[in-house]
Amino acid sequence: MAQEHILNLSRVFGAEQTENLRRSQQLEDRIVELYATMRPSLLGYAYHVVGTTGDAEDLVQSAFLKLFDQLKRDAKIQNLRSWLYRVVHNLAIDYVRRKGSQETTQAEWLALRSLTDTIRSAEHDLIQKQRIAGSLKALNERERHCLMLRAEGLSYVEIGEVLGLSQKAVSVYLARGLKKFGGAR
Amino acid sequence: MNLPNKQLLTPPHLSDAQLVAYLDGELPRSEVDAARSHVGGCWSCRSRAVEVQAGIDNFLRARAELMPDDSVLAESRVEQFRQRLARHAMAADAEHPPLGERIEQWGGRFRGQVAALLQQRQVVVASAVVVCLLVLMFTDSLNTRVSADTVLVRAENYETSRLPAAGKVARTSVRVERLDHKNNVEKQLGTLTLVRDSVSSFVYLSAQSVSGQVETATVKDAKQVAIPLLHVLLSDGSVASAMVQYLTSKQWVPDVSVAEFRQLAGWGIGGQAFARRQGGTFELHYPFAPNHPSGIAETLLRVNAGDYSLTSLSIFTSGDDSEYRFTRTSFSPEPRTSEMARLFAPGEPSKASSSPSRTLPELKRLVPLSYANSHASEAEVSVAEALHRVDACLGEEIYLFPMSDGSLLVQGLVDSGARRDIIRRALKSVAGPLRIEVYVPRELKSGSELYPSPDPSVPESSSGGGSPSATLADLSGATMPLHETLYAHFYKPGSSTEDVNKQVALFSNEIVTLARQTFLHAWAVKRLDREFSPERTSGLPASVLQKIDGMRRDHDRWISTITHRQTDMLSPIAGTDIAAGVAQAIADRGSSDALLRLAQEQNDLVRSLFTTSQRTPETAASLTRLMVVLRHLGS
Repeated sequence: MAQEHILNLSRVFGAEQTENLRRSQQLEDRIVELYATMRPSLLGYAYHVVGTTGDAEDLVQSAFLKLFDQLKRDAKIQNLRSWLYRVVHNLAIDYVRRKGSQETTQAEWLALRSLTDTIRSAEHDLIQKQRIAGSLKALNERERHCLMLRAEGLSYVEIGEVLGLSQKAVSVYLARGLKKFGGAR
Repeated sequence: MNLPNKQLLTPPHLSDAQLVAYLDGELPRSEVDAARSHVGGCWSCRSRAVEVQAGIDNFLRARAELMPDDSVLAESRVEQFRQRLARHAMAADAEHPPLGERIEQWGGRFRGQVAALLQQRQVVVASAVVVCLLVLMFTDSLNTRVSADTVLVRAENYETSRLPAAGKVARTSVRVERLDHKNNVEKQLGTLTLVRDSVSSFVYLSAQSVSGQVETATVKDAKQVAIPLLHVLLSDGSVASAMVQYLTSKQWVPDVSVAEFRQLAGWGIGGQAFARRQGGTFELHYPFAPNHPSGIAETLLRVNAGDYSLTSLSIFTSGDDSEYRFTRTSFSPEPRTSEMARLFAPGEPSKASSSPSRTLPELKRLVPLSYANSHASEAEVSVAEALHRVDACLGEEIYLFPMSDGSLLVQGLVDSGARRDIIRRALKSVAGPLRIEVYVPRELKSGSELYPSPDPSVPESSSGGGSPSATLADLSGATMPLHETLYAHFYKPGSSTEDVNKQVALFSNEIVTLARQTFLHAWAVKRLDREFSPERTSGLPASVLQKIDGMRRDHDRWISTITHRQTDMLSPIAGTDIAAGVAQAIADRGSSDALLRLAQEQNDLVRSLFTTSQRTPETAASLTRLMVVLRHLGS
């Protein structure tokens, strides 16, 4: 049946163009599959930087459109995961700079979100969130990004590729970040 | 005296960075052995390692609390991305030469990476396939050629399993109506209520005609009162008398049950019975012999294909081309209260009488309160927030009712069972007295009742605020007002007409979808304003009010994001003249009314420009206005 479909298309478009269409469609399908698989973790990271689900979703989708363009141009991608995180990171940072300071976003973000466990009282939630916000504010941008990427399961090498740091620098930022976060709580 | 090197006596402790890397397994191989032996022998470093690990746990917990929970929306987001990518790919194809052999080169490498990432997903998909196969093997959920008798047996099993448990009664309500298919007229004839007692095995019956005639009885065998019941329910002059006489002579009890249906069908001795699947319902047809003295042509039982519950029983008559439909409007167990027990007290069973000596005790009925007559509670805000998280506030007919006893009811209509499950899951974590009645369309047909919106001042449907619901853009693009402009925009030398038209169609589809999303978010803000007005929320703690503001801000942000994307898409189409006109002043967006008006306007403008469903507008003026409205919405 599939073969028949392709043959019919060939009659309409000509064999070479049909083959190109088929391959382009395959590429789209794979990108969508990959998007469905990686979306939760990339969205989590983007959300941490920009602070809203709508914008985070938009950035992650843009990253996958870039991936599509790269693959069509036959660009070499050594590590797909760190490449995607790097693009999302760059898009997110760019977005935050355009929109204003991240501190505002972070505060709004914290005010926006609520804990899923609504059995606890709203006051308790708020206090909890404010505590976390305070602890995160103690970290600088690099430390925060390193910790978030590590929490997403990236290796030090991958984090280095995303943020443009050496492996050693990553471990230093992680150690400092953990210390500050713990001290602030 | 030569002292050994100080470092040999006290080997250096691991730095914080080394310790973290050591715990993460990220220390360079050359340093691992030394670090392991040092930590093994050094109390101080071992203690610090424990602290670092606790810090990691701490951080992970905090992060988990702040992460968005939108797993339930993943499917729709992926679909939205598929559309966006398709449009992007078409645009890219127009700009670049064909892919040729290059895809194949990266294909192998990419496939490997994707395969690794998808490995877990494949296991899930495989499990789902196995479950589906098992379902197909052991149920008729997708089977359209199942025999009528098989379904009847399964329906009987369902009925048996729903007999009232000890200490309970089962209440069944039946609506009786006549459908005149020749003249397309429906007429309600009456209602019947049966209450079966688990303790005494008596059954209470009450029939009421639309003219107000009532018959009630408590009997051991319903057949004892079949005749008066039939007379009440089928007393209307329009009812086929031959059928009434026949049913009366047979003492048929007009109940929607497998037993009564079997009896009825058995008298027909006609053609071959057959089952037919109509959506989520099995229709079991049992034809009567031609020229049957009863005048009955066929009896039909409708059974829910999902759980084999009975929906309705119909008798078709040949003479007047009518259907007498007995629809089960409710079937549920109830507690055997003392009041209820008196109905079935020994020695008191009575025959039918036109003036009932004992009336059926009503269950205490709850009444939904309107927003004007109720105050918002903390629990209500939590429920609204849970619904907000799964986008149930975006155009779906889901309402949150404050009830007369202080409880909450989430009631509404959704497209599918899967969507209902998502909503139920979202509400699972909400504490407090909450009932959930979310239906799919086929269930409403069987008699479920939806309350009107708790806010009578807002129209119930938000599908477009009076405008027709959204449809996909016209794919041919032939008569779309902006077709020529879009065609010129996407046309590149060498590209075929078909390719360009596809790009036009993809573009139009996406812009129409985005316009509708903007409208739905604006509508949701309006609904929030009504639901949680200052009058209803006065006295609520500040933290609860912040939750409401959070929902409003969420919608605002979505509107901003979507309208920016629309603007980005439209700017190259609009050209410089139109872009210059966009700077003009515009009404205030501040209130939710103004926001909704703007969102409605952009939705209408997009539909008028990118579909063929509306009259041809002044294209340039409409596009300019659309850009102005989008700019304002995105501000």
